[in-house]
Amino acid sequence: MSATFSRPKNNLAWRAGRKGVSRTEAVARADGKVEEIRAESLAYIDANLESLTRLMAAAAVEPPSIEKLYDAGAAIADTAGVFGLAPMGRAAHSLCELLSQFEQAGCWKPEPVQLHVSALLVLRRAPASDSDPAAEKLLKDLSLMLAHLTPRLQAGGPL
Amino acid sequence: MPSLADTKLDLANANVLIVQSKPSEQDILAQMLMGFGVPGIHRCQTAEEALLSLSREVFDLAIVDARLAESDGYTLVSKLRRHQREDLRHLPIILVCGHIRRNDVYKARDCGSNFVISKPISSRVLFDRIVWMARDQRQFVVCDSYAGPDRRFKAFGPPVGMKGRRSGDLSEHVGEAKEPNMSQDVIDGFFGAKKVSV
Repeated sequence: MSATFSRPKNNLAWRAGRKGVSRTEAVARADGKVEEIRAESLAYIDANLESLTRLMAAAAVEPPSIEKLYDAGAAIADTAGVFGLAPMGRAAHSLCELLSQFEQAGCWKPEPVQLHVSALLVLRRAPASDSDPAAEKLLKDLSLMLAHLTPRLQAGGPL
Repeated sequence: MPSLADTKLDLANANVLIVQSKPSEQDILAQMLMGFGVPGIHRCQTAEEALLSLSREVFDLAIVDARLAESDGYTLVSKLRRHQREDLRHLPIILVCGHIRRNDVYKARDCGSNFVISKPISSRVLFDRIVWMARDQRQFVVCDSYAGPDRRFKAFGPPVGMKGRRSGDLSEHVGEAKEPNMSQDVIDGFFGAKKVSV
C-alpha cells in the first residue's frame, strides 16, 4: 500500500496572530451571543424531554422506536451543557449509551430507560451545577447501572 | 509566536459553512461564530446541500456534524477529502460529535477531518480549535484507506505555541544548559572528513 504526503497551503494560517479579536474578547462575545438564544434553546430541550416522556408512556403498550428515543436523548445531551445544565447533559449522554447498547444487542428493557428519563426530569426541574453532590450521586447511580448492564448486553444474556 | 491566550483571530471576511441537521444546534454554532466576528455564515442541513454550497462558494472553514438527517458527517468529510477540487480536499474541517455509537468511533477517526470536537460545544473550545487549525503544520496523507491530515499527533507534538495535554509532550522552552559547552574542536570534529578503513 502506498501513501502520498503533501503540505497544502493552510488558508487559515494568516488569520491567527497579532491582529483581530483576542481569545478573551471573542469568547466573551460568543457567550453573550449564545445567551441571546437561551429561551428558545431551553424550549428545544424541554420539547425533547417531552418526547422522551411521551415515547416511554407509549412503551407500556409496545416497544418504542429506539432511534426516536436516541434522537431525543442526543438532542438534550448535545445542548444542555451549553446552557448551564451540564448534569442533565451527562444523564442524557448516559441514556444514549444505554440505547445504543440495546440497539446493538437487539433487545429492549424499559426500566433503565425510564430511570434515565426520570433523572432527566429531576435535573431539569431543579437545575444543578456540575459540582452539586445530589446531582453527582444521581449521575454516579446511572453510571453504575450502565456498568452493570453493559457486560450482560454485550454477552447477549438475560438482563 | 504568541501563546494561545494572547493569540488573536482575524475572522473578518471569513466564510464558514455549518452542516448541521438540527436548526437549534445550528443556531448555537452560528451565534458563537458571530461572536468571533465571522460575517459569512452559511447553514446547510444535509450533506447534499453542503456539497451544492461548496460547489458554488469558497469557504475558509466547514463545521460538520457527525449526525446528519439523510447521510452522516463522516461520509461527507471522506467525500471532500477525495474530491477532484484541490481546495475542497484541503478544506479545514471540524467534525462535531455528540454521543458516538460504538460502530461509528472508527468512522470519526478515519474520515479525515482536521479536528473532532465533542458536544456540548463551548465557545472557548471552538475558538481554540480554530486557532489550532490555523497553526496546524501537519502534512496531508492520501492512501487507500485514508485521506486527510496526518493523524500521528503524538509523533509531532502539539502545534507550535500550544501547550500539549500529554505528560510526555516536550516543552518549547529548552532551558539552561546542564553541561559545559563543547569546545570548537569537538564541534569541528563532527563535521570534518575522516579517513575510514573499509
